[in-house]
Amino acid sequence: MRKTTVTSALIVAMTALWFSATPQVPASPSKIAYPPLGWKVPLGESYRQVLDNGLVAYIAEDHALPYFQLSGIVRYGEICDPAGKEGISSLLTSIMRLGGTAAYHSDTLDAIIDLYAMHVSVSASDTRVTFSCACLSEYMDTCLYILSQVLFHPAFEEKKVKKETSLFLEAIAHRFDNPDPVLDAAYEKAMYRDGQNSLLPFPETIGRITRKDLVDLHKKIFRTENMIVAASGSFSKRNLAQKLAVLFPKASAGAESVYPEIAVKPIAKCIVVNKPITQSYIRMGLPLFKRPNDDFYAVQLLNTVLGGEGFTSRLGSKVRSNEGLAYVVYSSAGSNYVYPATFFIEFQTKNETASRAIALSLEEVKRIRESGITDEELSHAKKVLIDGFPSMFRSPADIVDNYADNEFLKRPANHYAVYPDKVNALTKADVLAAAKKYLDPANITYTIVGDTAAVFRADTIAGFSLRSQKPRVAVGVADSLFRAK
Amino acid sequence: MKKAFLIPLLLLVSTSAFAYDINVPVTYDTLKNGMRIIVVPDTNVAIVSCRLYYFVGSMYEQFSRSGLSHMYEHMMFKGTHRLNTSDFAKESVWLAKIDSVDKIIFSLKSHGIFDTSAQTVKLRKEISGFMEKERAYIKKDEIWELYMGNGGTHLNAWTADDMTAYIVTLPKNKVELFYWIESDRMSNPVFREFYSEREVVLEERRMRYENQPANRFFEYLNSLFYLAHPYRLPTIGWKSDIENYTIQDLSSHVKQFYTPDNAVIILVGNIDPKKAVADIKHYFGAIPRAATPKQEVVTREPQPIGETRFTVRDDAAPQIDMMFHTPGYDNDDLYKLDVLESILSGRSGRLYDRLVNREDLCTGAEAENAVRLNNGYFEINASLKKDTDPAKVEKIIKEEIAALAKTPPSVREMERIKNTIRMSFVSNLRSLEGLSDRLAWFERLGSWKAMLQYPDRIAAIKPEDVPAIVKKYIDFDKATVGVLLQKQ
Repeated sequence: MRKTTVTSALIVAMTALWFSATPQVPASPSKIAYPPLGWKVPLGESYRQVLDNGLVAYIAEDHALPYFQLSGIVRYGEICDPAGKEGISSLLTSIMRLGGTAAYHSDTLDAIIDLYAMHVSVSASDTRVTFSCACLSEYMDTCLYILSQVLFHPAFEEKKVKKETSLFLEAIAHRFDNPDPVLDAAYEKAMYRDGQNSLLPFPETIGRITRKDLVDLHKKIFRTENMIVAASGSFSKRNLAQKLAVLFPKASAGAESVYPEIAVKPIAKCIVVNKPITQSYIRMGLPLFKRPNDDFYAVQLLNTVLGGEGFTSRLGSKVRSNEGLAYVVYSSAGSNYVYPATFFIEFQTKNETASRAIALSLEEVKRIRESGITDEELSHAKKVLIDGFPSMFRSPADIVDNYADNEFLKRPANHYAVYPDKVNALTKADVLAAAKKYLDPANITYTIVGDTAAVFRADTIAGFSLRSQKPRVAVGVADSLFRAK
Repeated sequence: MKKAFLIPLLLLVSTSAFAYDINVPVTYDTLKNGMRIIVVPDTNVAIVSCRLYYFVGSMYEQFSRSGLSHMYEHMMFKGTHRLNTSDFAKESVWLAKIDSVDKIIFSLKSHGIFDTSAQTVKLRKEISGFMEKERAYIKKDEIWELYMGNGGTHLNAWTADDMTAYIVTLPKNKVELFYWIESDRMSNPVFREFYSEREVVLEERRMRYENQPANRFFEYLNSLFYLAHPYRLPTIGWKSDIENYTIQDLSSHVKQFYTPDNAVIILVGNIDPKKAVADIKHYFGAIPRAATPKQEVVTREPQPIGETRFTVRDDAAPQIDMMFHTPGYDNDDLYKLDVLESILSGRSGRLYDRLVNREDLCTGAEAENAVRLNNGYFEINASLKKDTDPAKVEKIIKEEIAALAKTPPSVREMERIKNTIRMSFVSNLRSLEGLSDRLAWFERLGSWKAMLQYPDRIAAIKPEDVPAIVKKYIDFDKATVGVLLQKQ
């Protein structure tokens, strides 16, 4: 009994000691004492090489895993497709990969790529064509050779041209099954009218494309001087540079691809596309600018506060959190170095609350334009834009990919290093000035995809009426709106 | 009996099936309260993927309450006694009023009086009035703001049938913020803005299922495939269930499942495992286990007694989908079914080669072996060209399966599969977040160690194992077949 008491007392004493020695949990997150990060944005210069054949390559050795990857950017894009042959760059890139090469029949090529579990791809977007390959490092030589075959020696087998064309037509037939792509297409049309970025491929534009067109286009754009590559993985940097210098052709004095001029020219104040669905997909757009532009960072801060940063943004609080009107609501300030981007607010809400959600969004646009943002919002937005950098440059692959992209966009080599200073230098007044300049509610173009009857039936919400915008109503995805040039 | 003390266990495991060694330095620990910890250090990065997984999802839900785990995925961002509030004492007054009305709604619901009834609508109006008063004390989305304002990326949460995850990637010096917020969310959740968030979830359901024809098709098909097991419930929940959730429903669900003994923290990145374990113990160690231990699902799918067929016409690309019942984890056959999946899938796989390349009937074709804790499925899917007769595609799929039931795959096919597994293994290690999810998934099934053993188990499979596995599981007479046709 006595022993027990002594033991108990000892336990009590030890426990008290343990508690006194154990640091308490901070009372709030703001009381946490964080150690310094001790990290700086890595610079890209040490990774950059101009190879003997003139190819610009960012190369990083990374022996953490037996892995190799290479990606590349070609200066060309769907907006460069010749008029009347929209879709040609998408078709070209898919046939380059699937239509065989000088050294391999298409079936053999597929079999080798699958056998060694490689990834080889080429694809086109509006302002760039990209290619990539990846494999276990032991197969790097084979993978690089295959990539060079695909990029520079495609065979355009007749049978495969026919096959891929027919698959492309099937994809076109179903591209508007879901509402999101309808909104994308209608919005581009609404904001850019006849700009090349708003033109869609149709069966007749695909039908005009011949094998010779594909061969000619390939010859025109897949030139060493028209591309930049980034490679990382378990290899010797010198060895890889030598291989790339041999496998990629010698750069010639050929000029870079030229992009067409595109301007923001809204087609109407409001476009409503009828689709028998239970929600309206809505985008409220405003013209922005082509980069580089001095206002860019202020607009990014403005966007972060208004709707660019998920739940904590003003739109997220008002439309989603307070009212429960939407699952997705956000704003986006486009970044485009080729043609002027747009600023938009987007959300989906049941058809019956479309006008209500627009009215709430408009209130927030007006409020930020009249009163600007608070000190706390400015400070938070700056942190959001800057503090995520360690995640952006997490691996050697990230470093070379980001710097290859940076050079493709013709930004200065120190772009990422000076980015935090540029953002930190901005004030509330800069953000307010940006809001006044770019967020004029009178300039908003409304694009809506939803059940027209239900939307207009509920169009009686105080503060906003779609009818008053004199909307152009498209009867569906077959409407001439999508074909207009 | 559970171990009542810390057992640090450092395992440097290398895979043996490869021609090279890959070390995955895993530290595994279990706290007294049953909470599991997995740490994988990687000093090459300046960040840490921080993920907290609860082993709960729609398989633990019931009719009338489907989707509650997903609802709580949303509600976890609404704060705690200390987060998202400027004065919890004052706010509590209004929370209590909301709670008392919610109890009445809960009681009405149990008598079959739904959310659309005049009585309930009136009560909800009352709640809205209290909510407006409570709003004066709500600090909107503070959790989100804290993470994002401290360099957080990949901030999100997700719910599956057997697991729910709360995820963020932080700079290496900010990991303590994760411990603070997640331990607080585990201990003191507050169900703020419940009714408006219920509307948000309904909007999510409309967006993901009602207005996406292919997703809607698969939601129905899954519910037809599972006859008895709660896997038949959609993770997001049925619409009528969401419309009738109450705070009481959610509260009892949370008490039962969101406890340390049903959770694992996984940290992958630039972090010292020893310190991480000590810090996690410091923050989470005092949180009690669930009052009542979690009840596992005992229901298992009965053997099907015939074919189930489902045909839908919608605005979507036509496709045919065939599902076959497979065992739950762990079973040697699952690895053989993975091999079968690889033989059938890919551009040079048998389905694509026959249906797309040679017969020109489809735009794509593949197979998937879906491994699940209790009962899985093997699925064959083909996307049809516009004028293709689905019966013809079905016949060809049957021919390809019959061929595999008769003749083992070639040496080349087996080589391809092994390379695919190796590539997939290495690729998965390249992403901190991806590695975290893989470890969590295997831990959920039994042990994270199985992730490292996986390539060896695949390598051990011989070509002659394949015909037997095909005969055992791919029985068209007992399949669930879904046909999605283009609306005329």
